[in-house]
Amino acid sequence: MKLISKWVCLLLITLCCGSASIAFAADKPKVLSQLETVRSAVEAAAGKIEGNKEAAADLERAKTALKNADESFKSGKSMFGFGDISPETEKEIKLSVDMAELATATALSRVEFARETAELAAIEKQFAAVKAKLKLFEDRKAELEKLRLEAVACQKTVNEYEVIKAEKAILATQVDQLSAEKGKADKLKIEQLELTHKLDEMKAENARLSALLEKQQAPTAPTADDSKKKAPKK
Amino acid sequence: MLRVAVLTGTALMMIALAATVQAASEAQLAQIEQRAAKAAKTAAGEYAKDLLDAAMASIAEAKINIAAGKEKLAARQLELAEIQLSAADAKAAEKELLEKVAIRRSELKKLEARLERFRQGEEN
Repeated sequence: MKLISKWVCLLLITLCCGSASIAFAADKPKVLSQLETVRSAVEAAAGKIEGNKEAAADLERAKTALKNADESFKSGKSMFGFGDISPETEKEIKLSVDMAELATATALSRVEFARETAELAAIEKQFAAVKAKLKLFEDRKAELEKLRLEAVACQKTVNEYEVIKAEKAILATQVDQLSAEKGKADKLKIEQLELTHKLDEMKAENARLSALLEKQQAPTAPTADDSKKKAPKK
Repeated sequence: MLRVAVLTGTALMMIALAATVQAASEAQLAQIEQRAAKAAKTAAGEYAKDLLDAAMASIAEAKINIAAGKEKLAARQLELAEIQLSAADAKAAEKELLEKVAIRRSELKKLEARLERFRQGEEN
């Protein structure tokens, strides 16, 4: 009887421990599966860091966190017995897993930052090249605009020149006409002078002839000489 | 008598050690709190607010654990807070740069389109 009761006690203790183990084992896979997922993520990220020192340091931190999680799991398991872990240890493991996950994300963020920095540098280079080409076109456009304005100004000058040329032709005709008229006037003046001269001569002739005529008409009245001739000689 | 003295000495050393550990944790806590406050005023406050909030929550939990004497857990929470702050900085820098790249790419596209119009003689 005593032996049976001992066996029953042993069985009950085993059952209790078994149920406790099953109860903790229900949570264990969640943390452990998370740990394994993060471990895989860390390994995958290791191939992507491309010599980025900061990312490598983050990844190293992630690996240390995973190591801490492993150690916590091992020590927690041995301390608590039955292959299970205490809630506090589980929390420690969870924190380490979170740290590893975040450190991995940070490492990938830094890799992306480096990639984007390189892309920005390439964009800036391309930007400068396109801007330089655009400047050539803009300068050419400005030069063309300047030439266009100059062409407009030239056309205006040509038009003005044509107008002046036409005015000059009219004026030249007028000058010719006036010159011809002046020639005529000069000729008339000379003729007038000649006529004036002739008139003066004719006036003089007229005066001479008038005097002569007067002289011829004078015999009707005796002259002093005639009186002398007629007076008796004594 | 000797046993009592040894036990007392050990107890005092443990108390001193605990006090030193707590002081170190509190110093680290103050340092991380200061870093979090500074980060909130930078681009991280705009681009990685979720991570900053998570760091603040970790700091708050670490405070509770320090008060409860759970030094190991508090140390890990502080370490997590530090990593969360680093992650916030990195994420903010990445997002900020992504925005800048997007803006410059868009500007470059406009410039290239203008150049193409020049080449086609549409802007001459």
